[in-house]
Amino acid sequence: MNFELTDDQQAIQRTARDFLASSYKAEEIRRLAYETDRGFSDEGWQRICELGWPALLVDEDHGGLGLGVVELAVVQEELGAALAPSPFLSTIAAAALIADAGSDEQRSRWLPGLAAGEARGTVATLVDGDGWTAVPDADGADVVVVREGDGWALAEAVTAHAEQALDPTRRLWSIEATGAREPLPGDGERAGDVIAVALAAESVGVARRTLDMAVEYAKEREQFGRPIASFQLVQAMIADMRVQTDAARMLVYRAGFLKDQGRPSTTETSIAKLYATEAAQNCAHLAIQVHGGSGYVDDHPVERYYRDVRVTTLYEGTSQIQKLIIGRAETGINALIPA
Amino acid sequence: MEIRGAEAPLIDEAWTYRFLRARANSIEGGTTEILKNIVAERVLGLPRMR
Repeated sequence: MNFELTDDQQAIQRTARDFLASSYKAEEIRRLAYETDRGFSDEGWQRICELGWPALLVDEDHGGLGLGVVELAVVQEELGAALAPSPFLSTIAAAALIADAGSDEQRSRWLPGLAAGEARGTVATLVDGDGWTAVPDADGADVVVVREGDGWALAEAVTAHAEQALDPTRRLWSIEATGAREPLPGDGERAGDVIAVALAAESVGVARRTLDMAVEYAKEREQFGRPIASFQLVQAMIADMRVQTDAARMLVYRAGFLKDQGRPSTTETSIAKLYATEAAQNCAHLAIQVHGGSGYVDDHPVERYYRDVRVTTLYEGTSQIQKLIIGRAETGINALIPA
Repeated sequence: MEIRGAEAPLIDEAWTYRFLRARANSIEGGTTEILKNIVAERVLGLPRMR
């Protein structure tokens, strides 16, 4: 039993932390959120590509680093903590689906470019009429993996229309495929699990940072002549946040570790995804409570986390779906599809 | 929001404002924590915390 990251994993973590702290300060994130069309900057994305992050999961035969889900989780936690807007997860998700469900030809065609950051990808899950909606980072994407029936297909030519989104750092688009679509022949289930763990890891970052913000504020803000951190009910909230953050991180690493070992981990993925996303939502909720009125105003960073994290319990299998997967594993009875 | 599922992050007149506005309700006019103190001290007659 070892609860520490390896030296290499710690190096990735340090690099990510330093890079995000210097490149995604609060003013920059605000600028990206409100003053850019896509919610991220090409320069920022370029620098992320130079760090090799889009290549993390792609195998070495296709120009990737061939690293695992634990390394991805390390990066994702930092991105979540910084709330740094980038098309990273969209691109990773597209590459994971192409790697697992694509043909040899489709893999050779797309993975090297996605790994190098020369191509950008995204995934469209929510079918809406002839197109798809609530698609992240669709504008300017080179390839979109779209849901079609029970499977997936590649769409290269799409038109994207901006939607109004709850979180300005998580832009969403409606898309229509204007060209031919090419089915992915394989099964995307494992890739879906990897994306769920990545989303859970991002949630751990949100939980961690909202905890840090709550602690900092509670120690500095005075009421009745003393810091509010000295009030028992405030400490109770902070303790709840700490426990949930730690538990979420452990569950995420367990799911990632099992994936990297090639061991069955569908249930552990659901447990991690359910717990981490709910924990992050609760931590953002409590952080606002600790901040009181000043956390509620539009200008305060803590409210951005509250908006940002709302979607995590819904994407990649809602919390309700995750509970039914866990319940099925425990009881042997499938309640996912009503009898 | 949970029932809206993956559409929840899209701004909707009926849902989004209420979702965000509702977060203030346990803060404004006395936070939940302050109200619990009031219940403890004035209703239950428990000793003051400080």
